[in-house]
Amino acid sequence: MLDIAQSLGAGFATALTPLYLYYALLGTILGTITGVLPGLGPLGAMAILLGFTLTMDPTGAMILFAGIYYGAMYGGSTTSILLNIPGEAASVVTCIDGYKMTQKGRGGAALTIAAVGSFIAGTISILGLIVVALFLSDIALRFGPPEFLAIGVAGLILLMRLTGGPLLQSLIMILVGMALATVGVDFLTGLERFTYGIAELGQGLEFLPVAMGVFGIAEVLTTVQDRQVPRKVGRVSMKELLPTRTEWKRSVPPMLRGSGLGFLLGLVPGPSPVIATFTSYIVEKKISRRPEEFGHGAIEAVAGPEAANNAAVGGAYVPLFALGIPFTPAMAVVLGALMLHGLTPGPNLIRAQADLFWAVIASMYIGNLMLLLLNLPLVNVFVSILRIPRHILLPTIVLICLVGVYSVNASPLDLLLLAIFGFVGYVLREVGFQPAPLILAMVIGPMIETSLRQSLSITGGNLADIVFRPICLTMYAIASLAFVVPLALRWFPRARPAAPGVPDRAADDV
Amino acid sequence: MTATRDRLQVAAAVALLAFALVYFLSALPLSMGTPGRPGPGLVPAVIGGLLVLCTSAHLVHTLRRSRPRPAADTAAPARRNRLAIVGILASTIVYPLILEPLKFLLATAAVAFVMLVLLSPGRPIFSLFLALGMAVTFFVVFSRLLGVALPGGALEHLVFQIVR
Amino acid sequence: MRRGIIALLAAVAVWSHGGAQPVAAEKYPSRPITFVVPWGAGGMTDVTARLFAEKFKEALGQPVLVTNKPGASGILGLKYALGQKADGYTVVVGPMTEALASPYFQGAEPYDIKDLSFVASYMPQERVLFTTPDKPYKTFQEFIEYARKHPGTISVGSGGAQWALEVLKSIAVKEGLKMKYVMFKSGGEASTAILGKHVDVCETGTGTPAYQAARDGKLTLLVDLGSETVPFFPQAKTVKQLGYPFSTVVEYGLAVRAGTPEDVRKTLEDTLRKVVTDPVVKDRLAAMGLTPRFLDGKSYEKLVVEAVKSVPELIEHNKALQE
Repeated sequence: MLDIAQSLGAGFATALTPLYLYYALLGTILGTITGVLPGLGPLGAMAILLGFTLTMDPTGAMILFAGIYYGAMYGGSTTSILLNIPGEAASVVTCIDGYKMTQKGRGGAALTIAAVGSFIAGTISILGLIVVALFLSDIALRFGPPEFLAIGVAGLILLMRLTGGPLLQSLIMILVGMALATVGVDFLTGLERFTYGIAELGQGLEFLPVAMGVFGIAEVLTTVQDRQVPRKVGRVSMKELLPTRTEWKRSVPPMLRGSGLGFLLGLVPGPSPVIATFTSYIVEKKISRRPEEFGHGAIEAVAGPEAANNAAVGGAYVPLFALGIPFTPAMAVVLGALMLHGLTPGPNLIRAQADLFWAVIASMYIGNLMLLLLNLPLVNVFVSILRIPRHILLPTIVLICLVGVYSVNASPLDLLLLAIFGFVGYVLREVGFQPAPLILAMVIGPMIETSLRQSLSITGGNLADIVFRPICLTMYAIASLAFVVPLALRWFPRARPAAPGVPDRAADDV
Repeated sequence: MTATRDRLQVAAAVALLAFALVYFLSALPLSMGTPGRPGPGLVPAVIGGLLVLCTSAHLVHTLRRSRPRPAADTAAPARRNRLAIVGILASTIVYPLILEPLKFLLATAAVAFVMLVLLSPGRPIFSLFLALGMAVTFFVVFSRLLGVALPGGALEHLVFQIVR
Repeated sequence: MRRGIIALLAAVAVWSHGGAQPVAAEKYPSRPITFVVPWGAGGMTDVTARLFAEKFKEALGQPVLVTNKPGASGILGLKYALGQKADGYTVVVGPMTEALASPYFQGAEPYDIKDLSFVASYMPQERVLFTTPDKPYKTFQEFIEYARKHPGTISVGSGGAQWALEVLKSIAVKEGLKMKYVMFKSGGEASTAILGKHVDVCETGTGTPAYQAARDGKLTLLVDLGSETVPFFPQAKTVKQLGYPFSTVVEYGLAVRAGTPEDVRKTLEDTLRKVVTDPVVKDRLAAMGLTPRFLDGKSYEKLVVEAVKSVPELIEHNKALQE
């Protein structure tokens, strides 16, 4: 324990030298920009800077990348909350209540809560990162295809309960999302599926154009249609930017729960940060005393998922440092940077490059602190976006979506998808469907299909071998509990009478 | 709920069912494989089957629910807004088509101009300059600041040199 | 009024395109070059492409932008690059062997190699088969023996390379083995699967986490599915040395669209030669377990054509396994 403190102290000493502080600041600023602008994301920003890091030492490069990574996570919620544009899958859940808060004039408070939640989550996940990287380094290896399948299925079951609407509608959205995700070349066999002879569809439907379509573009279309007099935000006083005392009180426990949940799920490779966000949302909704506010701008629904998202992405560094295995494309770029500096990633990295490891850990913390200090004043700047007159703001949003989507793959097809799904999202919204499950199922669907087929191949088609494993059984048990308990409560309504004044949502479920 | 709303509900339910059927039928020719060697068609067939069931149920539900109701008078103001909706959608569809031939700055400015004029008619000069300004700003942010490769010709090269 | 604005826009459009001509006639390169990477960010191709982009920028004095066009084992990126102007400002980077072989595996229309003009290659990569040290088999022969005695029990993983997996299947056909084949998306995922013992043996490329673990002695190298040597494993035998007819070839390089002026292609070739022989680049790649090797455009084309020729045969040969 003492030498950990000592190493960490040495790490801080290294990270606090002016050059490394400069890199951390540069990284956090760049990360914030890429995070705020939907599209490019930390992956693109780091990839572009990969060549540039050749002129730095490896520690500097790692500090710069960590800054970008965390910065993008902080910035990622901005457009979700203010404009209803999720820049990444992990921000989709934030859109649900974050944007509702903006419509109620509490956008500033939501941004502040998101920033503080991110900071708390960052702190907790960095501590967790140290512990897990040192003592449980091989935890990621225990997850094989059957375990991924279990997580995917559990996530799917929870997803059905994400939005309050009828269960049938949620199910349809989930299935449509999963169906869309199967378009393209099946990488297990190399066969094209559902491409109808269009070569560009071979790479599949990208998440981003679909998400920005059904959220961003659809929101613009809905706004244009409602011919209400544009609500002037006008001058916003500092008091309105800051969360009220009640909002603070309601946010802190979700932040802590979200951080813990996010970090644990973040240790699992794959799209777990996304699962962490909606798991946190559902947990908060279940234990809240005001579940009816969820979906209409509940502060807990911003605080919890945002913290979960940030804590989970911290977890992604564990397999990278501990095993040299990148589980996300962004981590693959970090790995690439390490390799370009002649560092052999792998189990020995933490021991052989202790100075680098601790300096990066220390700078992550410094970066988080910088981001908090950077983001709080920025809330004011971002909220002022809403003061732009509507007839200029709406075209700007469309342009952000267009250029943002184009910046990722330079693909005209992606732009076309953006338009199509903008229209689809607009119609779905008009007829009362919630688009969030569709988008999230697009992320989880491929995970389920891949791991199901891999599991079947490995076991030779033996279902019992796939299900009866400790981790899998736990996952299935938790998920079925979350699903069965509400059903059971409905069948025995007298066991727990509904709170007075709360409409019985269960009655709407089909 | 108005009559148009109801018609939209039914249309959306039919569209969803149509999507489900097309998807399911396209999934069937794919190989299902065996339990030990699952093929690429297994999961799509399951998804497609469930989707057909769910969307059918939804359509029945929608039809049963929708009854003629006294229509509220909302049709009148909808016309001009429909123009804006169609205009914005058209802009996003046209953008990828003109991006390569016109290059980034002109294509972006053109699309921005159309949308600005649609939303604030009567100020074409202002809209034109605003559109150009937006295009240049986006170009500088994405190309110079973030290093994204955008389709460029001489005009883009010029801006690239100026802000170097 | 509005018509006037449209006329103005049209005039600007004409000017901007008319103005492009003299610029293009200047000495190459006079504007930024784009590297198209037909694989995702962070992969081996991407990392090397970005390293070269930086070095090309130093050598040519123009920025080099890297854009990822992943999908369909390189086909989409290649198609995109071939759809651009043949002016040398769009260069596709990656293992051309893979991109040209994949249509055969996918049953798609194969590429006409004449559409491409090969610039040069910069490194070969070997695909190697690993196992965990706790297994009863330590060599490839022992593995074959064990697999024969235990039909249908051994699971074979692949790190996303159809060609390498087919080479393994061709061995199974020859030896009459019954095994379970599992495909993973990338070398990273396959590495997790073998390190976590979720599969019995697994194939990945050199430079992946599994390969690094093997260098640390945490995995055993069984055989080289390629046809060169495996860095840091001088004793590793190739499948061809063991008497099997097929092997997989991965050769990374640069290509442009056919019809690109020869002096432009030559400029790129010369620059790549300079970059690959740069001691810093050599060191960096060697530390990753990669062995940079320069082949000029002609030799690269010859190598790719030769290698891809064996693919339809391999697929025909493996049909025996499907029954």
